[in-house]
Amino acid sequence: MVKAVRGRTDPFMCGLQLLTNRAGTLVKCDASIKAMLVDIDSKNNNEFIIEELDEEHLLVKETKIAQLKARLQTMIKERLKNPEEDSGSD
Amino acid sequence: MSASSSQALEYLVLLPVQTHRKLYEQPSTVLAIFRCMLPHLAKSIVMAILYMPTAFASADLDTWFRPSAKKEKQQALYVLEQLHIIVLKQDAARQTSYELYKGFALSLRQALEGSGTHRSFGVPASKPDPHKVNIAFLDEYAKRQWENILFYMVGTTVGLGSAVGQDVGEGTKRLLQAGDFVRMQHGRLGITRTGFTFVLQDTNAQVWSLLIEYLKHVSELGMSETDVLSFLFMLGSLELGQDYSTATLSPTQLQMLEDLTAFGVVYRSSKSSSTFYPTRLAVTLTSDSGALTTSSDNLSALCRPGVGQAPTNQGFIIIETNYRLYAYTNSLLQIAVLSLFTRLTTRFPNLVSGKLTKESITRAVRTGISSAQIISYLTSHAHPQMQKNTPFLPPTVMDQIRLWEYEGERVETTNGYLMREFSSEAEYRDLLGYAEALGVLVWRNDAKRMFFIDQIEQIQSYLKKKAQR
Repeated sequence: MVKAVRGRTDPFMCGLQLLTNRAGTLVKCDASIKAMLVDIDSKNNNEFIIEELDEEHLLVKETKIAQLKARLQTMIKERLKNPEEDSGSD
Repeated sequence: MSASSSQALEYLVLLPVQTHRKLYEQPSTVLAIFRCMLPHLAKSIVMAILYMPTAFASADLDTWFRPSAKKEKQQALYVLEQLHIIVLKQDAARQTSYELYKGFALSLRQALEGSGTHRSFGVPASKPDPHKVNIAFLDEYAKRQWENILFYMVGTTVGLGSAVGQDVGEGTKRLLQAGDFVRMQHGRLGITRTGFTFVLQDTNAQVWSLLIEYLKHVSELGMSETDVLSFLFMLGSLELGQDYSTATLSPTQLQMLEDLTAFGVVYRSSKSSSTFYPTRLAVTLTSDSGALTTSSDNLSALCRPGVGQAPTNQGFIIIETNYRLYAYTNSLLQIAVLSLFTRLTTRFPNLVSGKLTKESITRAVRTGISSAQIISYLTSHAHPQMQKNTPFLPPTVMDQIRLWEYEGERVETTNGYLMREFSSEAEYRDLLGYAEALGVLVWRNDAKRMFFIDQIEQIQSYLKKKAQR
């Protein structure tokens, strides 16, 4: 049986076997960034991530990726406040 | 196959089979597609089959390839099938064989032999033109028109005054907006991510991008897409400096001439003129890079908008290891492009100077330009003095540009499909191998038996074929 899953799923017959494929966006990032993404997801009713694939890969809903990226930017800015202002004055 | 024509190929494969069939009625179209859209291997296959009296058994085709070249063979055949050039047949004994689509084969033979009375390669004007123009004039004209378009896109973004874009026709402006190359933001026009990519391409690729956008909108204007495409391919086979008669053109194509004149792709002395001249923008549409070398001097001047006065001196940018940038140019277009990612501070009659800063680069990245694009622009326009170094740009500067971009972009995304829940290891291996051969595989996890692909159409048709067996 095919698992019940969120997102669009198109099962199609292949010989006798039922094979699933799911449309989505593959996100590649390092583990630290992934942790932040998972954090954002869990604070928002899991509306972004479909599945965590491995240490550095996530499957995200195609329609939500832009929003997720924007949230990540804000989070990075908050967490990594760096005082370094650009040196245009050398 | 050049990079620029691959865009055209992407557009072509999406067309329905009826459109393909109609297109293949024109020998000039068939020749153009054959010459510059098909990968080399596909060309060889077409040539081999072209004069075969009967269908070609696929088992025989397999013997032509080493087992290790299976991937290349599949790719070539897939392109041919997508374009409906080649037809896979199955006879009663379940033997498969390949055959060229009849219309394509006929037209290609006509084009090669010069037979038939199709006139699809343009009809030179019968009377000599009293106001004949020379090639230098045409180049100048094409360059001016095209630069105006580019400058319209870039100039308004960086706020170089309101005079920008006066020479660009309303139709062209609408087209640029429809194609999302520029967008109205807060009451002023700004360049978009697509537009950015567009400006940094070489001229030939730019022409194709704009024409493809044009093609997407022709049906709204009541023009036939097939007519427009045939005409474009015909333009590609014309000769520079020759005037051609408009007498054989269809109403759609006559209407198109006006728009193409606005782009600088063709030149007409007046709107009612019975002849037209293709410019260099037109004749290089369907030629490989090899065909361009004969006129490389003129062309490189054309590729690098703005350096009209010194075509041999192509590079003009100097970058020092302290991120300072000096550009020997007085072209507003080039200054505008530079200012998209540089903090320019001083301008002299023949020189602008400024600095690459974290702020200026991240601003560019936010607008959608990638660090690779910036680096390739700087490299291809490096001053001859810089070109003595290898690499041309200081490595520290290149690394820093990449790092600045990476700081803003922490994730890499690919749209596509996750394949999983295979019934057996063999099943998984088989499909994975196919996906890898097609070059659509992005990520795999053997332990979980799943992989991610960025295109599914080919995989689906592969599975269907397999299921039928």
